[in-house]
Amino acid sequence: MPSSSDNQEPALVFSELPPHFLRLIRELPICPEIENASARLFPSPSEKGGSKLLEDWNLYVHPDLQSHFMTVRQIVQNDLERIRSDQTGSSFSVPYAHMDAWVNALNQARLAIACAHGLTEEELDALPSPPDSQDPVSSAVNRIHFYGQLQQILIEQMETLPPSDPDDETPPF
Amino acid sequence: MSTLIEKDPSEKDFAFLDGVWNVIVHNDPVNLMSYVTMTFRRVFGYPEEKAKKHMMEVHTCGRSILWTGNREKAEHFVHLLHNNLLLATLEPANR
Repeated sequence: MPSSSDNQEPALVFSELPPHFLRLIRELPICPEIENASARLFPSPSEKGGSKLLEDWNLYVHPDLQSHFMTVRQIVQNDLERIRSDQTGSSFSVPYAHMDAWVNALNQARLAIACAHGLTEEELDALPSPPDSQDPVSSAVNRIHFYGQLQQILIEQMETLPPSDPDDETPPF
Repeated sequence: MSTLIEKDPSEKDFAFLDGVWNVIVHNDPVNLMSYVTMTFRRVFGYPEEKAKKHMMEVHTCGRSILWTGNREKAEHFVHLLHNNLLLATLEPANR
């Protein structure tokens, strides 16, 4: 259940998370490292292959994107190191200043999982089924939906916030 | 549905230098509609309604031309869109 933080650092707090959800959240920063996902995370800037544009893009833009994606995942990883657990479950905070990074990291993970499993629009639009750990496609779809719900909560919260401080540590949008 | 073409009026006098380029966003079944709309608002500075129109055009037609202007700025926008993990390309506007 998300709520606002009472601490000095304004943040959205997710609390009473069951172990299954906690595991999915902890694995968020490593999801984009799935094999076969790079084609989706680093798409071509042109529909025509083999152009000079593509060559320049791979040389100059690709490393910048790679660095950006790593930076936002590191921000998420640092936030996840502050997860607290007790008898009621676990909780973690997403500082308002890190919301861009979280939304980006969630998107990286969702796209990487969909790409790695070759998921179709029909599979993604199907009604959520009970998680089946024996079925990798079912697990992947459920994980994508879970990350999507988290992303939606953050986006709705971001819509209510004033423009971010340019001095915060989140990389430029 | 008609195509929404956004041409930057400040760019047209210099278009002869490297032609006029379109920034196109392609459909992706994974990205949330709210995320795509927010990204259009933030990258291009479009108001909510205009961003939503483009998002719906991407969703229903498979692609939308988000902006038209000089190549350097078009590349910059595609870079920002890739930073936000949208499927974006640029192409000459007059092809």
